[in-house]
Amino acid sequence: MEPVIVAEHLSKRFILRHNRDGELKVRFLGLFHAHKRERREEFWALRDVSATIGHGEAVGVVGRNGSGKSTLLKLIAGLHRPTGGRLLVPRAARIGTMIELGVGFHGQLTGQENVYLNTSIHGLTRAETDAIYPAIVAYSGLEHFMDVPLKNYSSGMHMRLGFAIAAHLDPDILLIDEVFAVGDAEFQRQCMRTVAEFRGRGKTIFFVSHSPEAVRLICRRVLVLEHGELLFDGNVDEGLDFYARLLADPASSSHAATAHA
Amino acid sequence: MTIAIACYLLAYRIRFSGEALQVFLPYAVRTMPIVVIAQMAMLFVCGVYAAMTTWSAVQRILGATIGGSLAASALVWWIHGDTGVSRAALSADWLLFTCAIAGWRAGQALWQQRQADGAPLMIDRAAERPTLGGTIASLVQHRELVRNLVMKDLKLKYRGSVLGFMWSLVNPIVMITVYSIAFTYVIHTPVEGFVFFLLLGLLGWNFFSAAATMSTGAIIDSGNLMKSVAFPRAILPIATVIFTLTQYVLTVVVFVPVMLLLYRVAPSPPMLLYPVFLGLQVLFTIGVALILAAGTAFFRDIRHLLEIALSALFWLTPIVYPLSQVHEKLRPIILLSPVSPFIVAYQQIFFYRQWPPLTVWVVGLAYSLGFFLLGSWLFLSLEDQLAEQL
Repeated sequence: MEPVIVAEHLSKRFILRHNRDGELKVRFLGLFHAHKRERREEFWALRDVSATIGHGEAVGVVGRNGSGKSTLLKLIAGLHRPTGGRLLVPRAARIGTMIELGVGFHGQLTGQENVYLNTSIHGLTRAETDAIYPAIVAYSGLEHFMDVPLKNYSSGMHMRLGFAIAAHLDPDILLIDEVFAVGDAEFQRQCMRTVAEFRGRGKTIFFVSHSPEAVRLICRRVLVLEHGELLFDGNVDEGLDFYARLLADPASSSHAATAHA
Repeated sequence: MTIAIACYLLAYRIRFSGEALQVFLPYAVRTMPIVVIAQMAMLFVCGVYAAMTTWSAVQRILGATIGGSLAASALVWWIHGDTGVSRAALSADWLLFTCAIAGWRAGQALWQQRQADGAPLMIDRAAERPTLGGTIASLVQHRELVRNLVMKDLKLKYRGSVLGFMWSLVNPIVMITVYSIAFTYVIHTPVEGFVFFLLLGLLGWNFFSAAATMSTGAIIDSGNLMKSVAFPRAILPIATVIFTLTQYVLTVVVFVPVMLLLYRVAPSPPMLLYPVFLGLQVLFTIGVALILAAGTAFFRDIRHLLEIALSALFWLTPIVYPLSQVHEKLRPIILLSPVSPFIVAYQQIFFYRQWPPLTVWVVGLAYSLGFFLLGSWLFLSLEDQLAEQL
């Protein structure tokens, strides 16, 4: 299988800034009062993660809050730069991200204007958007609302439009971060169907989720992250069992927590 | 080689514009081989022809052209003595030569980048660095986004207001009325056709100050977007500059013809230079916008500092007074305030109907290229920290 995402000893460090005002004031006062000085703390969101994902694979990523799932996804998307290791992605592939739905939407603009603005953020030309626009409208089921400003949409409509756009960008690699959790059951079913369809068309999927059912439905392989380290990489059933034991085992979490502190 | 010869001739042409061609041409031709050979040699010595990264290219080009021009001046002086050698022409030649070489190298790098696309199949996210060439290429790819962002701002600004675009005309009218009354009746500024004079400076200034003010929010107000979609971040400040530019051009298109008719000013050849100086001002403004947009992400104070700086700069720019009224000794200071060369150029070509003097060219070119390069370099080197700063 041809590899599309290769991580080798990948790590990412964030600098946490306490007492940060983003102002010169802080720097100035810091000269005189130690407690008013900006305190910096290192935080390793990912540590030495190695994995190879092949073309057409659907990989689930599970882990507790703060385990580094989203960071891994954002590194692949190119939103942050890795601190160490290597992360290879295909130069020519279109990488689609569903990190937050409807981001970049503007309340004063109509549904149609928002669709065109949003697709161009993802690098589509006007002609390309013209081609997929009818499908987006049909998918979202918002035919009668496309000329209404988005501020008059309900939050459900907002989300449906956001997902409809993301679903029609036709990426080669799809990175999904927990975006369906916010919707109602009907919306979630529609999203899952669409993602399953993507998998059927041989797209590579990287799916970050808290929901074992959703992961089981879409993925055959799962990565389990804990405090930025990759603890498990393999078959989805074994991986989810491993994750369930990890969650149930208070020793592991307290042990890990002290290790982290 | 061709570039060097063309620049040298052009430099002499600019220096001696107005004077007879025959007077300086012999000197130019006589000194040309020396200058050109010295510059070529220096380019070769500094290795400008070798492939390299953007930043070292800028350093090498600057070194090579400065060295080349200095060597050329020394040789010319040594061989021909003082007669017929124009220092102004030599410095203009240096500026033109530098721009031309930089443009040529950038074009070549861009071309090579395009050729190399798809050569390695995988890219390493950890080793990826934003480059000027790569950013320009992806800006071109995202041109639809730039257009849409500009359209969004225009729509948001005018949607729902009765007068719509007319509001953009009202502001200059009110400002001009106030300043005209103050300066003709209260302070008695002796300028014939003061309203026209004022308008040129005020519109040009408003473009700069609106773009600068708006660019401070370009990055920090798009936090969500920055955290979830990857696209060249430079698009955000550039789109704000184009948005204010659009408004500026629309007001110019309305006001300037009206003024030309009102004051019975006949169109004259220098007016053809308007797009050139506007282009330089846009380049300059983009550079400033890139600096402010990235800087505000690190220090929110920049917003407040900018407000103060703008009100000081307004009075340091010859907008409500002509440069000729400034005391001789202060004139260079006023001309060196960053927005001045562009404003003075507009006044020269429309109001005085003259070719802008060499100093305006040199200062304008230096500021626009200087700020553009500084802004691009700063923005690109901070680009991947921006998302983590928000």
